[in-house]
Amino acid sequence: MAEKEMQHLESIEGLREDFLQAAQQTQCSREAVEQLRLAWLGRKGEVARVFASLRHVPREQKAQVGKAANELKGFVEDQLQMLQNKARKRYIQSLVSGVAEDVSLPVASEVLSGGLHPVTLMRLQLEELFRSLGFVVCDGPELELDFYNFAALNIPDDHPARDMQDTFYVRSSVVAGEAAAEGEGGGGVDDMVLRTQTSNIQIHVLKDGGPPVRIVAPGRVFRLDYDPTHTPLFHQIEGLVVDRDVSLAHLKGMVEYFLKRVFGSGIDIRFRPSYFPFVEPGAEVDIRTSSGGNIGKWLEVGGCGMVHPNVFETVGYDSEEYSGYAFGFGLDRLAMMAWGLKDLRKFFLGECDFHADFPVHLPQRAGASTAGVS
Amino acid sequence: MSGRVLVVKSWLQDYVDLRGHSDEKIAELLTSLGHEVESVRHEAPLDSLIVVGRVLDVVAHQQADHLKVCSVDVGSSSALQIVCGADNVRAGMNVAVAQVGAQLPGASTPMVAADLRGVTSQGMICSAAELGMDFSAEGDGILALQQNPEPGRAAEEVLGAADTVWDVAITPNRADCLGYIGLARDLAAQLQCPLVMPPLSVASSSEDSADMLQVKVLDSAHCRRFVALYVDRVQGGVSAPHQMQRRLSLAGIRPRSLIVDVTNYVLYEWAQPLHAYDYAALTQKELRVQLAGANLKSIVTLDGEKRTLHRDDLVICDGEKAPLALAGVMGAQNSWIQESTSACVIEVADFSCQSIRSTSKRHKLISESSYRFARGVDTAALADVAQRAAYLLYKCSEQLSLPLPAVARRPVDHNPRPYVAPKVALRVERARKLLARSDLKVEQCMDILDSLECHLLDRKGSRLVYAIPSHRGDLVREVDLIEEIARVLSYDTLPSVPPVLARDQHREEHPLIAYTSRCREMLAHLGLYEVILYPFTWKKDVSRCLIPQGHPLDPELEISNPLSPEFAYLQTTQVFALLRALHHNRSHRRQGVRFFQVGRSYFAARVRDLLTNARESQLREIAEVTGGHRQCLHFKKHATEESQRGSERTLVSWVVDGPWRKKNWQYAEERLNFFHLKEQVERFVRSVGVKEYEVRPLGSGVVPFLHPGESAALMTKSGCLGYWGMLHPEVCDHWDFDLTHRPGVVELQLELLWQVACKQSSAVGNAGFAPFPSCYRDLALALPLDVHHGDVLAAIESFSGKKYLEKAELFDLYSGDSLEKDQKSLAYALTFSCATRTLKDRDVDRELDELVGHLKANLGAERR
Repeated sequence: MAEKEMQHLESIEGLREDFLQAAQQTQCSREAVEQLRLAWLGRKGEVARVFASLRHVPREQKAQVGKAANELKGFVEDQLQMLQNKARKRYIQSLVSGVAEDVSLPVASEVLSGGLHPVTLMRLQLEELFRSLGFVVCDGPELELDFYNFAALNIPDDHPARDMQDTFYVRSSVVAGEAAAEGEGGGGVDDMVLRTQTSNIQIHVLKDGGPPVRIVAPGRVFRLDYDPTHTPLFHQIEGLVVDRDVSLAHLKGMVEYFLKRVFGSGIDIRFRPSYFPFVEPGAEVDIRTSSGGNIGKWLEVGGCGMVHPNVFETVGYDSEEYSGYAFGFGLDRLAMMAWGLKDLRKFFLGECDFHADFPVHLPQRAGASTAGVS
Repeated sequence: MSGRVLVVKSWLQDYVDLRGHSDEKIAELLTSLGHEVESVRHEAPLDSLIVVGRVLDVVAHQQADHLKVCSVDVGSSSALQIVCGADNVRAGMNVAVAQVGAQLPGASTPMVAADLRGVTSQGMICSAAELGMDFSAEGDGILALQQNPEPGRAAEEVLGAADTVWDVAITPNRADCLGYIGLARDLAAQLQCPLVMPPLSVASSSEDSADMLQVKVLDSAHCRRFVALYVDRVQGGVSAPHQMQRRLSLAGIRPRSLIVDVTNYVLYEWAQPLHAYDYAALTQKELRVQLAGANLKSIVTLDGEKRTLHRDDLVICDGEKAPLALAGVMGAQNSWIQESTSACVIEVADFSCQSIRSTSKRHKLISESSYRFARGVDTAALADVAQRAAYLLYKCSEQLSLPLPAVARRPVDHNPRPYVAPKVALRVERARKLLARSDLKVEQCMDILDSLECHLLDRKGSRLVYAIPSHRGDLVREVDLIEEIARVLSYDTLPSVPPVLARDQHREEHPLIAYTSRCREMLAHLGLYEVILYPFTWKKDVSRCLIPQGHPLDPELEISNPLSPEFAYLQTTQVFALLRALHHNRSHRRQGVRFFQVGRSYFAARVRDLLTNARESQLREIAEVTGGHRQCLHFKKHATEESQRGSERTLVSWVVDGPWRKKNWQYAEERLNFFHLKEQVERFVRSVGVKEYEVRPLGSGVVPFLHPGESAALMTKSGCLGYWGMLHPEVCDHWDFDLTHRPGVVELQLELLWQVACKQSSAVGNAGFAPFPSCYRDLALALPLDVHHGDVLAAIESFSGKKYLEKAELFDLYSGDSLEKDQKSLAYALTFSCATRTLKDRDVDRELDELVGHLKANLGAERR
């Protein structure tokens, strides 16, 4: 009996030796260690067999042999844990060493971000600026009736001011065709125009709700013109403020404020008398920068003035009680100045090289100016 | 012709004293008065070594036929010997001599003494051109100085080359400032110095113009006043004094002859056009002002054009006979001043703005004269203007020692309704408020308006009533007077108040405005670049896009006056412009561009009726997909105007040029296909709030420029949001795009996207992870070719035995060898889950078997 006991204990001891030997022979890889683990701790592994053989051990020896078996199991587990740790470390090491990418290799350009049009960037900047002053941003029709684009703006038919803006007139070939078929001669369909200015919004806004008014309206306008600084399509931002006791001083202050926000406080601003039939007094605004390609030159950026009483009266406002100011600035011109661009025509050709330079957002800068004056 | 005036400083100084002000200061003053100086030109004085010389003697050069040797007195003790090639050199002539060392304008080196075929020339006798002057009326050859100047005097003293010329833009309301007197009046008001009016009157004959001719104004509506002054004993061929010619040429007018130059000079002085007739051409001795009507057919104007007269053209006729002038626009050749002219009639009239404007437009002829008439002239000054012209004719003749003209004692003056000055009241308090100048004094306002020749009629405290002078037709209301005060004070002296935050209480920003900005941003984040293109198109592009006539995408709004034929119509889809841009880029070897545009399409309002009445279902489908029947939501419309105004809607469109991915070190080239576009569309619409939609194939011909099998519509419960697809190969061919790299286009309707996004935005899920683990199975199906993935999904959706199946995701698509010819294989990854317990394999397998049976029954699907 004692012999048998000895036999059990010895074989357990032998297994310990066997394991150490196998472990020593095992490569330090995750796969080899896993094999070793399965061979020893798996369901049919050596340790399981030892435990299975325990039922043949006489009762009085069970405690001692069982203890030895448990010790063996604990020993194998510890050893395997160590081996596993070592193998993982080595594997991680292998993932790092010898890997050194050429980080200068390019990514596919198609997945890089697109960009917005410079006019949009300028427009978004100004919309935000005016919203922060309580203005409501408005929109309106580009296809306009004579009344809104001219007559209500104090530009009656045959007024010489109509020569200032070469207007695109629009007719409906459907309506004209039908009218001709009905023998109406198709006359009088030329009443539609492509708006020549965003000032049509003034009339829409004044008609759709009473004073006080505080709006800006950016948008597209159209004139029959084509040279490096004129295109048949361009953009304006219109502003309109109507209230009791609005004076020219408010207008000057507003224009000075927003131009300095866009171009920095270092610019000079000049108001000179000019003529727009829907304002009186009327002015054009020039700016002069101390940097960039046009140093010291006055550049016209917009027109403005006090709302003409005729305009108020057309829309049924009391011009004695209310006064107001309006302004219209060229978004394209402002964008050209902000980015130092010379040829307006490039804005509307859709050349990929031109657009590739513009971002999705304007960088937020610490200073007052967000659009860089280069 | 723009509202530009070239202002010659020496000339302007005749009317206002500008001494003591630099050129820069004067330019600044003009600009601050509202007359923007756009550029300035400085004319240099003649070199002091260019002097007056008197030709004493002319002999032929011995060695050269065309040269002459002249002896010229230049005021020094001995005469100079100068070789001259001009034909017109004569003894006794007064000439300009460039002495040795003199620098001629435009010459690179100073004058040297030269040996000309053996004869030394001690200088040069100059032509006008060599002096940098335009006296072109006098022909080539050397310049003969007028008025017998003393030899030795500096030529600059005699000719006055030094000057400054400002290019000034005149606003259309200031017709008076298209002349020097008007500008001088403004300057004088600001400088607080007097305006010097030019001398007028010289009657040198006892004749009355009325004895020599009659004036009949048959159309008083278009001719308010007509003044005709008869001047006898003139010489049509003589040229004007050099000073006048010099001033005119600096002002951009080519000198011609004394009579013509005088009329132009006075036009520039008073901003009042004049016309001179050769008296001999007035066979009827009557000037008749009338509409051309049906009888008068044509006129040959001074520019040599034979023009067909319109019945409403105002003309001046030789009595009942031929037209002598297109009134206010241009004279006729038959009555123009000739060399032989010995008596003339000076016409100064006030024609109606509208009449001249429309005649000028009809004949596409804008002259200095018509430009001014279209803006209005000073009707009260007409007789003065005629007198002034006669005065200048007389004085110039006197100056040039010519026979003196006989100016009639008085003109014929047809003036049935003499000018009555309108009254305008000014409340100084109102000016103070509007200009934010509470310190403005009543006297200050009075001084300013007085200097502008507004005449104070009445004063009650700070309420002033003014009579408006005839040259200021633009002063109509109180604000106009307030502007005059602001202008003369200078806008820069007016105060400014920094803005404060104040809210518009009556209006709210339309949410579409922010939504549109968000759309732009999202599209840019998809790697697209925003472009803004002209929204114009032409029928050629429409047919290149295979759009048949009458299709809702066939443009119907036409520009009456397009810039070019390519810009004749307003777009109905942005695809035309995007393809044009793509073509432009490809023609510069830029392949693979990705552009988006947010812009409008334009339709005639009546199209709406057309489409609601349409019986054909296809037309209705097209209208549905293209949105041709909808209105823009941006702005309120006034119902009565809808029938007149066209409709606009906002489109979000983009174009993707192939390849989808260029070959690079990581990947082979990947050609663009429908699903790249689909991915973009879905990413975009989800990013702007549209989550529930269906993708449906487009009916054939609905959007003709898309490939019928590689295009789709984006449908929601609220309708179709737009379409996209690969460009039709035929369209590619029409645009010269190579067929291996076909571009794709997308067009969505922004207003509808927004409406749908608003409806869907509240649907936010509340689910977390399921509490029990899910089970997964792969299911590969062999299906007939015409069964779509969407059909499989629909069949799964309708599967009644569905208890645990949560989702089915397509992971493989196959057709080929291991399948029947008319079959394809779709493979799905299925997820099963249960909310109350962990699923057993047998639960899942049972349901899967039932599903396969269901799919077999419904779609003829076999499990593979």
